[in-house]
Amino acid sequence: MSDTKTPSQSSFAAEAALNQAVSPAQSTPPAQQTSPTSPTPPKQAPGTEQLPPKLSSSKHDDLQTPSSASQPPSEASQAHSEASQPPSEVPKKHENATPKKVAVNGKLVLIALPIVLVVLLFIAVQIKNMQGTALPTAPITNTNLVEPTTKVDRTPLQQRLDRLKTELQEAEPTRQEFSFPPVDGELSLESK
Amino acid sequence: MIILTSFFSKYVRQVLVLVLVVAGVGVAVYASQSVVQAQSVAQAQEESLEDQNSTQAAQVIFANPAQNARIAALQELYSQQVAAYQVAERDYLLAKTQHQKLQSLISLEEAVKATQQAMQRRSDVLLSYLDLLYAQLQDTLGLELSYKEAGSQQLEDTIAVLRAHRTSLDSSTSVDALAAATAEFKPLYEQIQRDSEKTRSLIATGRMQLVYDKAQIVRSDIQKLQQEYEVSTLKKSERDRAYVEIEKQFKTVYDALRLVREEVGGEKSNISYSSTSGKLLGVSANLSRVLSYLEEVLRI
Repeated sequence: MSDTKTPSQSSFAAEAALNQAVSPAQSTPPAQQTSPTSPTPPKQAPGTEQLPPKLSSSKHDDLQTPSSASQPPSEASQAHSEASQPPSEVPKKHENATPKKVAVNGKLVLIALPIVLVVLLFIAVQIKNMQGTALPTAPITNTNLVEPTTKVDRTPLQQRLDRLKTELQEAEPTRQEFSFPPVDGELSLESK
Repeated sequence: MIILTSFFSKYVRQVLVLVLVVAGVGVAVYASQSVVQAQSVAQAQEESLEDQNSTQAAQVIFANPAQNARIAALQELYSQQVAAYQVAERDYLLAKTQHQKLQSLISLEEAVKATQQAMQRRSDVLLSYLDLLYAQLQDTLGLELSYKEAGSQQLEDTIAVLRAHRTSLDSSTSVDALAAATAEFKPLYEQIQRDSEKTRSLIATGRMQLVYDKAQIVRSDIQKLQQEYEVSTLKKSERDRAYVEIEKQFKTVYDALRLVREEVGGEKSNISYSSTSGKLLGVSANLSRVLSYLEEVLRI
């Protein structure tokens, strides 16, 4: 599964590695190979590290790109050892469709995820709005805690009884609404 | 790995479709719920608006805006005149003390002026007070018309006498004239006090009677409403027993109110407001019990 290189590619890589070993001035350390002009494949899973960066299903038997020629000696030796493997491990043609599938699925996930997030956001806003209409906007006081229930739950007859109770309180004779004015009824010039 | 990836991608796709379907259904459900909620809120608002309109209409029948405005204006005038009287009374006391000390012509002149002014302000206060009582009596519902007319007539007579006294004070600039005004005012002041006691008693009785009458109407409305819906025999007998108790309480209140009414509205001249108030307190307690019973019977 991990062997996706052809024998020709592997031998070419091995030769390039040998050339690098002979001319150290041309060789670069593995850490410095990530130049923008000659990108090397990033470190991959152990089973897939030999995959070229632009490997496509139709070009698997093309020549190796120049960048692959500047592989470090360790990779080159690994490639050399892989070149000695039997040709029975050459990847089959239908296996090259898998990365395409993964890419398509990735795109699908990338497109669907924002949609799902937007829908969830919309639902959250809806729930918040519904809760917002139910809650009182005025500051909560003791009267506010009582009044909504009285207004909503009380039937018209109960409301009439409530008003009657209020009127009865207002009609209490102890309220002394029209008490006699504070005047002196015995004003006179004569001394008392 | 390929099998796993393909399986995972298929699984992810299925999950995504499922999530989208669930989200769509959720949105539809919430939308329908919000529509239903909005409809129910609108319906409740319409019902409460209708109730408010009917309540406002009932209040318009009972209330008299023009009379209320007149009472408010009289109360304002009364307050101003009380303040003016208090200033005049203070000046009168100072001038009188000064004259008693000095016994001079100048101090006598000042004392006469201060006394005249104080008596004028006092008459103004009493006139405003009687006007206020008259307006309040006219505004009081629940009183028998004969009682209201008799009380109003009595007040009108007293107001007329007081106005005449107030007019005579304008020309009372001498010691003798002021002495005559003082003698004239003494019985008038007693009459004003009696009228005040009686009118206040009438107003208090009328207000209590009005609450009683309204409670009777509410009781009959509750009975009508409950008769529209059939209930079990057990519940019906429970209601009947409740109405019997309510009727008993109503009878007690009616008897007590009748006694107070007859006493206040009769020919008896010396009505004490404190006595009436004490009797009406008992009526008020019974009426409060009646209202509690009515509230309870609504739940049966």
